[in-house]
Amino acid sequence: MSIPRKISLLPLVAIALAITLPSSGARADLRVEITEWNIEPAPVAVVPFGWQGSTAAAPLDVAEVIAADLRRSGRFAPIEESQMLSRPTTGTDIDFDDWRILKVEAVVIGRVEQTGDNAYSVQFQLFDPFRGTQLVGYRMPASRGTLRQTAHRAADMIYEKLTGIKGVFATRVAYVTAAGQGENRQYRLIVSDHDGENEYTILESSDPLMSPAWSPDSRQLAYVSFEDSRSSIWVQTLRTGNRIRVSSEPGVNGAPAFSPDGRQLVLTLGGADGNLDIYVMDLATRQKRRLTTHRAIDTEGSWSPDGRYIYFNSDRAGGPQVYRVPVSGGTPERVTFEGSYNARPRLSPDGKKLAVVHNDRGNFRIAVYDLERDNQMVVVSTGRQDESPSFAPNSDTLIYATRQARNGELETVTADGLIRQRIQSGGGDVREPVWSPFPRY
Amino acid sequence: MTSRAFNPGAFLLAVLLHVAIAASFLFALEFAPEQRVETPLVIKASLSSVPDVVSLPQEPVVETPAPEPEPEPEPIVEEPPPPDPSIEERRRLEAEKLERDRQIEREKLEEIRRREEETARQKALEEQRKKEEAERKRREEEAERKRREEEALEEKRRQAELEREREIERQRAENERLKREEEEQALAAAIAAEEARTAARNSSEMTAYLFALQQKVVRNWSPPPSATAGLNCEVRVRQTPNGEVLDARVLSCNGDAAVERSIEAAVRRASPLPVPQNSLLFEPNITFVFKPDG
Repeated sequence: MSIPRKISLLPLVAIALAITLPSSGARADLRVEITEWNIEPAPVAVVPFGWQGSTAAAPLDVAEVIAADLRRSGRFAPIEESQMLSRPTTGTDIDFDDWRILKVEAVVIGRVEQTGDNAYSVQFQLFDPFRGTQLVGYRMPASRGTLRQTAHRAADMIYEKLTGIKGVFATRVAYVTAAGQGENRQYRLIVSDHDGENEYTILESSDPLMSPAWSPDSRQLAYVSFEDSRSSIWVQTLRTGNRIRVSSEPGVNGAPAFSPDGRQLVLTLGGADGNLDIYVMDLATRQKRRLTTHRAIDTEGSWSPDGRYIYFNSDRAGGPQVYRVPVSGGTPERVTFEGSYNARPRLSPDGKKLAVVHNDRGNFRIAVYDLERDNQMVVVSTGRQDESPSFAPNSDTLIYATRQARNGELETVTADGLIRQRIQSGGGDVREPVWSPFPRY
Repeated sequence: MTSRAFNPGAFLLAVLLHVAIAASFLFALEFAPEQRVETPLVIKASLSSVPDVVSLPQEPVVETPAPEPEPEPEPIVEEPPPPDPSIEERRRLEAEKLERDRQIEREKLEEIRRREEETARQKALEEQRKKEEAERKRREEEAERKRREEEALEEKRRQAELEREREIERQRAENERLKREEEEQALAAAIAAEEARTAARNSSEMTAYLFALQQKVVRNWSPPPSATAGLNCEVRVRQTPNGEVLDARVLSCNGDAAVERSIEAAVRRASPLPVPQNSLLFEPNITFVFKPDG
């Protein structure tokens, strides 16, 4: 995929203005202003890890997992192993000049040791070759089954050190796929690592599945199932597979979302008359409270991270726009004003941004409003029919589905729209991705 | 007896007579104070050998016994010896006289010899004195000459010293002048170089150089997401003439640690930095100001 470059050739006049020339007499430094940057990923090196164990090779190429994570972030470009001048596996072996020559901004080295039949120790260190200092280093225990997750955790720590924001490599994504035609059409609710690995199906149905939503502790998913020929809202515990139907009102039961404390769900109920409104349900008591009463469509509720507001989508002003209403009740206020169509609101976990599906000159694209900067809006996707934006827990990246031909595929994009990546998934029509919260170790 | 050249008795008499005359004048002056100067011409003439009337009392003759009043010179000086009555007596007298004459003659001779000796001695003394005087004079002259010579030498030396000092002073002034000229030339060269540099800096070469610098760093800056509008970080780079980055130091930065590291890495990765076509434009230090405009 192509990455838009932010480099532009500024007019020479602008350059001249941006540079302060020292006056004659004492010689002063030249001053050069850097107002642009390169979104080409920064070169880094992830040196193949050392291995010490009973088999010829480690059960997992941990370095490759880390390198792939960094590469997938779009911010880093791990160099090829063949370019490396040396392959140190301990801090004492590293010669920083080997890496300065290659102009890599960071060097990751490490070792995997087998400490038992199914016990491993993963050690990694991150170095800044220009400063010649270690930035972070850890040793973590693992089993064969957790080696990959351990590698993602290492990548998270490396990424956070290098970028100042938390990595999301150890997070997961839930999404719905549809495959087959007609009678054979099968819907699946799938959870995978954020990179598409470790994909597994938590529910399979011949009836449509919709609107998955993570619980704040990542242990449960709420979703809408049309089994039994009616819509109902379920909450399923991933580890056990236990599932509970929490709402099965007449008419529409849709668009569930967990409150930040995990005790409530916001949902959309249609009632017998089919007028969709926003409700909040207490999960323990199943008590529902109606938040909107407008006769227009009010749907797709989403919590503000502080738990005080519900952001939702309403066409009460004509086209769909985003409104918000206090959870305690009150008059909804309109939030979005850009264009004729802003739907499916999702707030970033840091509460600073709002992602929507936006009608961008006839194309449905993902747009991000900057709630801290006067609601400035940036369109961050480039498809014709993009849908279901969901923020990563670090608020830096979004995942969404984009229609390609007949199928939906997953893409991620940074909230500034600069770095976009395609996620390889199991195939079929992929839709409604939702990014998990940070895992709790 | 005309052969006598000198008769002391007569001389004494003459002196006495002169004294008496002088005394009478003194006496006369007491009674005729008004005609004191009206002395007779004769007296005046006889006094021609006396230099001064007033000086008379100082003559040594003043110490002689007081003169007899009215002395009779003739009987004392020119009275012949009484004739001997007898031959014997006469002979004896003649012998005595002869003896006396001889005695006188001897005395005279002695006197003459003594005088001659005295004269000779005086002359010798005089000569000695003259000789000594001459010698003294010669020595004095010699000393004087030496002194003059030494003075001349000293003067010459002093002049030489003065000349040397003047020469040193002249050299110093010359050196000073040369140094000043050199400094002026260096200053002029520096000014010319600065003017050339200023001209170069105002040229399109400078614009091209700065643009090349900027773009090279821009291409190598991969900022973290925290680098947003409002960021303002300065990093100072020291470079070799070939543009090799020797070190990079963050002077100020309102970004986080990741931003600082990205900035350092950007200028490091940009090494070697572009070098200007005009070497006048080269500066060993460059400050890059990272100010993303969002």
